[in-house]
Amino acid sequence: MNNHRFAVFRFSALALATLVLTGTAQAQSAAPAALPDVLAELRQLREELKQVRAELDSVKQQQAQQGQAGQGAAPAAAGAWAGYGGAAANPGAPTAASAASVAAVAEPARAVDNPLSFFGYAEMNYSRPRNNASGATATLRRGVLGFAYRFNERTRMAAELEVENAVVSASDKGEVEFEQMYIEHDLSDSLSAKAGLFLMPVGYLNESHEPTRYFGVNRNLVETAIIPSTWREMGLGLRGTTAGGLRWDAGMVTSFDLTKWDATSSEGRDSPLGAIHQEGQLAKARNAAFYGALNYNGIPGFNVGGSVFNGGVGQKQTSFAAPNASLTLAELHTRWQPGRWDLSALAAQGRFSDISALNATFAGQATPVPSRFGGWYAQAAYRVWSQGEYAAVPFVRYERLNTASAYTGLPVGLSPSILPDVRVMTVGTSFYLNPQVVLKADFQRYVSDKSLDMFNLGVGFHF
Amino acid sequence: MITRRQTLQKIALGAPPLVWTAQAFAASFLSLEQAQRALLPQASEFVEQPLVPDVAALKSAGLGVPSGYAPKAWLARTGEAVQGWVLLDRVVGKYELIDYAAGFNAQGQVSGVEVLVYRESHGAEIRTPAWRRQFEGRKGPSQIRFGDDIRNISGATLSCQHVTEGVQRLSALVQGLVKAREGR
Repeated sequence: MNNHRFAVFRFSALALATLVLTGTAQAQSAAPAALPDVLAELRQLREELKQVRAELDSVKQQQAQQGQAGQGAAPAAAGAWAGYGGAAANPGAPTAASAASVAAVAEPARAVDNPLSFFGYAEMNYSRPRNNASGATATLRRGVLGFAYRFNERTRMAAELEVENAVVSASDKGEVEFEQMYIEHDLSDSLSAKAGLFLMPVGYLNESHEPTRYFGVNRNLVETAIIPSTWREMGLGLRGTTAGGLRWDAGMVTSFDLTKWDATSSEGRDSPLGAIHQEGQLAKARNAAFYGALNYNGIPGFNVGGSVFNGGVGQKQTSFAAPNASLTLAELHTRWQPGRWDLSALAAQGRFSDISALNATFAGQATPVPSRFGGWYAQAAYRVWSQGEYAAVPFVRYERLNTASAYTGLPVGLSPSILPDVRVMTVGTSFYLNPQVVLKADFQRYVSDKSLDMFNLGVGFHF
Repeated sequence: MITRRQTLQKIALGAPPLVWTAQAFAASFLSLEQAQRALLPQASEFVEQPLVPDVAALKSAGLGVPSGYAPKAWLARTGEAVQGWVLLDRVVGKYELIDYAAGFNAQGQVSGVEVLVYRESHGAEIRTPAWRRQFEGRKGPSQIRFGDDIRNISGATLSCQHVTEGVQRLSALVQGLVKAREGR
């Protein structure tokens, strides 16, 4: 810094001297002998000044050319390209932009974009059981407002604030939650890290859960009851991509809390993991979990991938019968979208370990902890009609799952019987008014239990 | 040690070092110049060309036009021979902007698509060469329909869709440039 100031000072003084001495060679030769050093420096400076002036001229010329070329369209400087952020020019940028020519053009007004963005989605559903019309319900299932802020080109945050079932109060069944809240930082062009509360990269639905992104009014059962979408944990995660089309994820996060298991409630049978998730709310964090996921996207329109999540769920709680209990959930998925078709399949299986002592305390109760649960689905959709942004996409999906396909640790005779697999055929249509707005209708036939058959209508959107 | 020369440059030019610093910091994959060379390697120079999108025409062709739509265009030449155009544009991926450039040959066919800056981890797979290659050789909006002509990457749907729609719009603009040149 001092060097810098000194150099500026010296330059000014010498420039002054140059003016006084007229800058001609004759003047220099006539100068007193005491100044040879200064003269030598002056000569050098003059050359440098000439060079700089030439550079400046060429920059100006370049700019003028660009200005002419850009007439009627937009000025050539970087600030002209406002993008969709629609922000005004950055007061700090104009001089930089005006002098920088090509470099600035290559950097199109990034600094002037609004770093804050909003997004959101909602889904509203009507469901009517086929054999019980009086059980029909309508609900604003989810309303979500998301926001993201870009701190700089490499660091950003994103969050989703969600209200489930419209109203939240002491006497209502709604929920308010931060579904995501994390910081993300790019470590390199192909590797990013995140920290906070974020979605597990498991299956298709969990990370892409906007209603326009899946078929059916209700989310599929496998990715609700087996994979507890929308599943998020707190911790650290890495995501990398390769030019060959591989995407990998790995991370260390919070796990589930088995001490929440209520053997007298049916909650654990509806969704074993949904019953014990922690969702970043004062989560017990004695046990950590690790996850890894790998997806191949090297062939456009085709994806295949899988993931594994493993972690302690007993949380080493001293007063708990299964302090070392753990969970492993593994899943495989594939999707092929040739032309108008959209074909996908997914299978998931979970296992609880070291739960025998806990189940012994649940003997005779309705819902012990299963040692195994899992399911799969296959789905086909076809875009039969589209015009402009409208599109009609009927689909059919078959699912088969069991939230408790085995038990351990229960005395013979006190184990609840293993229920048959739930088998559901869903047939319906998504009608898109726009890729972001969808009307849905479907019929769900429970092959395993007709009393659950249901007719559903829904509307959803995202922005 | 700062030399006089550097000091002089700072006084004369002031800001470029700042710009370069900012650029080095950005998570950009390619500079515009690199993208231009990658998209039309046979061209020896790229001259910026005025581009005023006819929003009404784009809309009547059934193409959505985002507010503030302001792509930029460079004419690619080798001597007097026109090699095509490189257009620079940006679209929103999921919630952040993607800067990308598309190259078109003199007939208006896509020569390639390059992602200059991507600002999200979701959907970053649009940089996969296999996905971008789908655009090559296509001409005009009717050959660049998302889902029909350009296939999706699962988990990167929004980025794929928005970049495809962006290239579709650019291809319509390039058709205008081709006509204007042939009309001369």
